[in-house]
Amino acid sequence: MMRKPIALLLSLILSLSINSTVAFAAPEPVKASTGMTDNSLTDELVMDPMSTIDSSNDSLTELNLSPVPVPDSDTKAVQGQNDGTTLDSSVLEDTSTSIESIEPTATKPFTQETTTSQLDSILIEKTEVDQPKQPIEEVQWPANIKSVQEYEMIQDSPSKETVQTKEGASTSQGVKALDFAMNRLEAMNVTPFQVNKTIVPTGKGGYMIRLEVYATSDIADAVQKIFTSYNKQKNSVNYDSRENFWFMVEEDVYVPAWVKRIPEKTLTIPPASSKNDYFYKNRYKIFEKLKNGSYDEVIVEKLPNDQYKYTFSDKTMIIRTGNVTPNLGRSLYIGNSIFIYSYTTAGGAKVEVGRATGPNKKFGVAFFQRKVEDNSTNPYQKVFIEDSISDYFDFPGETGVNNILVKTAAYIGENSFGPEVSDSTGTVGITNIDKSIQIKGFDFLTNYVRKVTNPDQSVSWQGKKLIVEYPLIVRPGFLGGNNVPVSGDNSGVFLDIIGIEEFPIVTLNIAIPPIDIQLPTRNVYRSGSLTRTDLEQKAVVQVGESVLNLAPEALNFGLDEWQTDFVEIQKKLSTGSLENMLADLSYTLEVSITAPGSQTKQKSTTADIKVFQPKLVFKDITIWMGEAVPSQSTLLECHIKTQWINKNVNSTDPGVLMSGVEPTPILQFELPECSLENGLIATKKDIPVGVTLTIGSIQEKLNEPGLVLKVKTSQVTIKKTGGKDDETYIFNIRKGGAFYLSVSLTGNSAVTIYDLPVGTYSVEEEAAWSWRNFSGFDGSSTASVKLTGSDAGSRATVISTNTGIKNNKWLNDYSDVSKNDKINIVLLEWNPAWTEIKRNQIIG
Amino acid sequence: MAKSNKFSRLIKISAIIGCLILLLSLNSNSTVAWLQSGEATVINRFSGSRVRCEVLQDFDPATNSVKDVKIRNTGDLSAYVRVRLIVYRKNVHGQIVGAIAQMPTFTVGQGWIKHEDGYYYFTVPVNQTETTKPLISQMNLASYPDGEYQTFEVLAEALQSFPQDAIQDAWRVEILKNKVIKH
Repeated sequence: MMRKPIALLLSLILSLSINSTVAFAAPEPVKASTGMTDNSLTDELVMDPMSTIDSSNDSLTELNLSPVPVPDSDTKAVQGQNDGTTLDSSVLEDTSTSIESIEPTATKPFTQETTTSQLDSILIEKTEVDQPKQPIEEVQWPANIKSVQEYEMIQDSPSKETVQTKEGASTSQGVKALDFAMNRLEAMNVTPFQVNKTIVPTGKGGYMIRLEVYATSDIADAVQKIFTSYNKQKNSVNYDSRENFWFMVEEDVYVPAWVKRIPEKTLTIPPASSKNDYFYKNRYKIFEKLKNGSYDEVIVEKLPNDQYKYTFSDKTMIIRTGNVTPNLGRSLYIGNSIFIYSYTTAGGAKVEVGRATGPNKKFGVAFFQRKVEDNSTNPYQKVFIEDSISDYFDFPGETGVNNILVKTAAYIGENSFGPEVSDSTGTVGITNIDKSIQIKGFDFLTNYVRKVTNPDQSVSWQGKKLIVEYPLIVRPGFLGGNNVPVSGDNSGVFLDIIGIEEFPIVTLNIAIPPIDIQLPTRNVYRSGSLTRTDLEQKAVVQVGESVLNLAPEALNFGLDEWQTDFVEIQKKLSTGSLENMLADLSYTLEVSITAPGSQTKQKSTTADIKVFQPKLVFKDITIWMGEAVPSQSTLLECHIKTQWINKNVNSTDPGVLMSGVEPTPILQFELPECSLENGLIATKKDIPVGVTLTIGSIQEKLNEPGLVLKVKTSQVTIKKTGGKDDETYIFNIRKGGAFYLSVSLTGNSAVTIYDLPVGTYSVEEEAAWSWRNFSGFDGSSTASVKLTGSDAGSRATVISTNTGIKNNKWLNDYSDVSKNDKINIVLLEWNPAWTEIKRNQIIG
Repeated sequence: MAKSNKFSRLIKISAIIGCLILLLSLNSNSTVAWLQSGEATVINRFSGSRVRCEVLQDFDPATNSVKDVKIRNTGDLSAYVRVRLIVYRKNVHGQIVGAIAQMPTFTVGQGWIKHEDGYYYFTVPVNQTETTKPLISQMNLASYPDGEYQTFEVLAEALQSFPQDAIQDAWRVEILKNKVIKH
């Protein structure tokens, strides 16, 4: 095995420090002139077709390298163990020196730097030392596996697609989550970043997010470890032959095709019981293929908690291979995961990630490649923070960079920072699509906070924390709830496309917006009907800025899921029977919105259902007393129109909106029995006609139908001529041959009989009373009168004329007609006892 | 001379009588009685006879009833009396209205009979200034809705009671033993 001394030293430090106080090896100075152009290496890696996919992260290319400080914590830890002497101090000094020696020329394009390389690969072979004596088996490759892609296709790798689409986008949640899982550095037992995230309400639904992020010494070390290899991709010309290495863990599984191409490999299917222990048990070795064609074994050491430490020639990684359930806010099973991480100098970096998804799964591989085009030599400047907001919040207005405050505060003492000052060195970007902001350009490496013990034993404090403040508002239309997450996915510290530290999930209790219910007054015709659905659909229920759709076919009340993720909406409609309504009623709609916990908002509104009653309008109709009862059709012609009235409001009034179709009433008429006689009108008073109204299935008799028959009567006047003044004459009137009534008159006077029904009458003077004279009606003893139902035919006059003396004998005398209604007015002294003079009273 | 005085006196008496007769004959409104003069010369004075009658009745508005319907002979001759009763309906305007008005029931008074001609006859002559017995002691009139009421008319006719031929000739009734009898 080939080792650099400094790598050995780092390995030793790692092994000693449970807190991963690993001092990283200082990279060798970048030499732009050192290029490797080993095409064989390229050929070896191009077997993955995705290697041609480009990625871009332009902002990263703008960064310059900064001196890499030595983590203070490392120093402190070592000092604690070694009384601040010897080994670690020398490492620190050596590291500092190395960092300071980095030249800006590293910004040279990567392709120019990469000149040649030998085939770099990892050879996994069975060791002879620990391997129990058992036959070596060659890997039996499935016949249908011909390429890496095909291999991918047959694997159950949920992250596969997202890995592929992640290229250059860095928006794929799955990948980032996976990256977090991979890169949270849990395996290193380090705390990469210290993050404080607070939310302060600013009123009117607004909030201010405040992020405080600073790197600790541990993360500086860890990040450096990650980027050691990252840098080596770009600077591989100076990195002798170790440009390419592989991590791999396997059992009972097919090995990707590209592994097969490693000519030196000898791979044996391990026994099932040895899973996760392949390397530790030295049954297989991992080799780095060096530039000179030899292989350098990767030392695999098992650590507690299913962690494995892989020590390469200049680096060490600890990877956890047990069942790890990342705490990422989402369930992502990455048990038995390990990632194959490789790089090459042949035209770009290749990072291949594979994972086994479980003990019963076969080996899963997901690939992504990216072409590193930047020449940054300071990977720390590729660290940026991204904070996204959840679907439940928005940036206020057109939030731009100006609304994001970026400040820094110097580390001035133990857990103490100085005043906050604006910092414009970083770049601020906002992605409204992703609803996230990114702060790039803050040099966490340079500014990681630390306590530095100078050679003269004095102490100084170095580093800064990054402070970001930006406003947000509750997204319009969100109905509130409890424990609403403010942060979206992928909020954290990123190293390029790799998540390093995830921000804590912060939640808020968002008040449920006020509920407003507007119920229209519903107007229906008598016997009309409504449905509950109709009532609900016409209701306008507004919750904040959202309008609920109460239609039964509307899913989630017509709202998006994000609007109601944290609340439950219930509606309740209360009313009476809506079928064949005859009288006014009301309906009440109650809407309640409940958030699990303590929030409930409720609103209840009541409105009227007005039933418009029919008012039948008839035209006048005249009928003569004695005429036949008019027919139904005749009476129906009197119906001019139907008005629909509700408390003096007509259905045709402006602003009145009726529901349903105006019914056509069916009318049936009925005259009171007392006004009829033998089918004839027998009253001289107006006759109210009863009307039975039928609307739909409801039949009822109207109380005030409004149809009245105006009754007219006829009259006959009987006149005497040729009579004597003191004689009385009696006339008998017959109707239809039957005696009707008798009247009298005195002298040459006349008497009129009113209120006669139409018909034929005969008038005859009573001759037995007028025995002395001859008399007649134009020579006839009887006058016939026909009264017809018309104004002209309703009046008749008959004249009885005395034509001579029939009997001139004897003395006689007719008394005055004594009538009981005769009132003789006399002047009397007023007697208070008299209250009135009765009609039939005879006075005097 | 004595004869001529007697003749002159006779002429004078005859002239006076003749004037009286002439005077009487000029009174056309008087009933002319046939007079026979005796031997003694008596100066008689004549006045015209009259047949008169009037109806007497009481009306009690409290009970809407008619009472004591009687006929008084206001003439100077004994006379027979007959009565025609008429009822009809009047409206609030006092107009006779066309409707059948039934005669209220009553008990025909003593001395009265109802002839087939519908008239009520007091069967015996009524002396001058005398009054018949009540035809109707009490009769309740009908009431109607709407303010209409029943009007009751009493029409009476008196006819000289002698000779009885006059009654039979004018009224077509029979008199038996000085009483009007029913047909």
